[in-house]
Amino acid sequence: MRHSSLITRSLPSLRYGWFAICAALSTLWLGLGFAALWGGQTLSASWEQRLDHTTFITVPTLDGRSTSNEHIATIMRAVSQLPGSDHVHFLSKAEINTLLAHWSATPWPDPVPAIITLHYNGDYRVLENAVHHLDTNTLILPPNPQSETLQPLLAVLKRGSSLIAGLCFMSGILSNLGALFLSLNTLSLRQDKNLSLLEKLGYPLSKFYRSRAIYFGGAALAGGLVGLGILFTLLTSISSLVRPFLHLTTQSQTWLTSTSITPLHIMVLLFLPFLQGIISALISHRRLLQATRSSL
Amino acid sequence: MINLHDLSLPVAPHHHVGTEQRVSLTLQRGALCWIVGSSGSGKTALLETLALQRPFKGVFRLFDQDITPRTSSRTLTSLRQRIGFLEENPLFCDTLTVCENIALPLEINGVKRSEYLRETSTILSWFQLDLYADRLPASLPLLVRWQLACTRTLIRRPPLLLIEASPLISLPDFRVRLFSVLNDLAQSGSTILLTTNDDSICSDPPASILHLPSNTPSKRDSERDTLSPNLSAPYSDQRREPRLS
Repeated sequence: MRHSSLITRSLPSLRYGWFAICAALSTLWLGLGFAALWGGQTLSASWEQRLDHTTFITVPTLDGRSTSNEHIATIMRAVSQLPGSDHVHFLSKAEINTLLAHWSATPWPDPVPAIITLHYNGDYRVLENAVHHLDTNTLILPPNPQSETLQPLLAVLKRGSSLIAGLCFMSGILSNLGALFLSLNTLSLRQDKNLSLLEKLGYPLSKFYRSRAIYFGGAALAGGLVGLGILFTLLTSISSLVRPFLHLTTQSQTWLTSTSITPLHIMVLLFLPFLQGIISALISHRRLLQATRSSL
Repeated sequence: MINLHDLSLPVAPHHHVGTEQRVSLTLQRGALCWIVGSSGSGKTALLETLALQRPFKGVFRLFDQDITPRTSSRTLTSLRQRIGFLEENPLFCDTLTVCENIALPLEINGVKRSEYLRETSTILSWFQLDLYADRLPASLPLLVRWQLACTRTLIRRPPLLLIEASPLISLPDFRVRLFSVLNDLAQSGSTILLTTNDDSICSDPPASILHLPSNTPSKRDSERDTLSPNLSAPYSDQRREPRLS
């Protein structure tokens, strides 16, 4: 206490404020980088899952009678043999009723038409020829053209989120380098005339250096925690803005619970300030002690 | 108390062939000793080495402790607290007043504030420097700063006092007071080493006088250094305890 008072009176104050700001920025940028990376991936995966690639083949009823199973089986066999067709499936009556409920406001009268679903990547003229060759009354409903337009958008989204994450990581690293520079800058204290005088008079510099290292570690920790607070607030605001796109149904759902952020990711974010604090303290203390030992 | 053996001292080229010479020195407790030599003869380097403020080559024993480059910073710090070193151009903390500057050694040693303020006031009065107590050191002339630094060196009554005393030539009144204090300190067991480039001021206190070489050495000297470095430069021991070879 006595010595710290002496130091406060006789030495220039170090740039703890700037150091804390660097630590806060570093945490913020790195956190935003992780968020951009995870958020972009999660959003594109979520949209991709919701894309409908299904083609419907509807076989209408004839004279109020259901289509025979043999006829359906023939159509399914013919469709399955086409190149580019996959997941050929004959819908059950319950599935058909659910589907028709979306298409018509009133209940569909029995008998319901037979519906075959499939994923088809080939030429639709070939599919039409193959089906109409067996039954000219069948209707072929290709998937929503939105799925075709969304693919390039998703590619852009993935590239964009990677780019933003990269920029954020770069800014975080630059902020870290700034903090590192400031902590190494304490070595300039070795040139300080007043510190030199105190050393000559027998002032225990190792204690002073230890206390400086603790201050630096504390500043890094405080800055990191502030950065973490800003980051959480920012991400919560952003997730509330993009809530419709993320398909968050309830208000209680946040970016923390809805995306693919795992507890490990949260731990990494929480650990960053502590890591910065420890590293800063160790670097500062070690460098200053090395300088002290080389004095004789 | 002090045992230096085969210490390598840097000297100015006009004093010696090469840039260094070997010195051995022994000082007992309570010794009061002058080292006289012209500028560049190695006086300051010798004092800085004794004050543990410069790297050295050779064998050095201080306060019954071997000093090596591997000596821990903690040991060096505790030894420095027992040494009073007054340079010709002393350092001051410019953000502190004269009074606070002079109290620094006591404050570092953990003396209570009221006590070190009293001690500071007493020593400033004794040396008739109390009018500068509240001034900032940067605003004072060099000779006054030296006198103030002298009081700062003495206030702790260190067991080893190292003083670059050349400014005393211009301070006859201060010299009388200082020698009185130094005699008291030597009698109470402190070892005192003063350096000067003018031996006219060495007459007052009953002290040993050791001379550093003041002219360019002959060819024989340089051969002797090279062939038998431990024999070293031709210092002269005029009086009792100290030995400088």
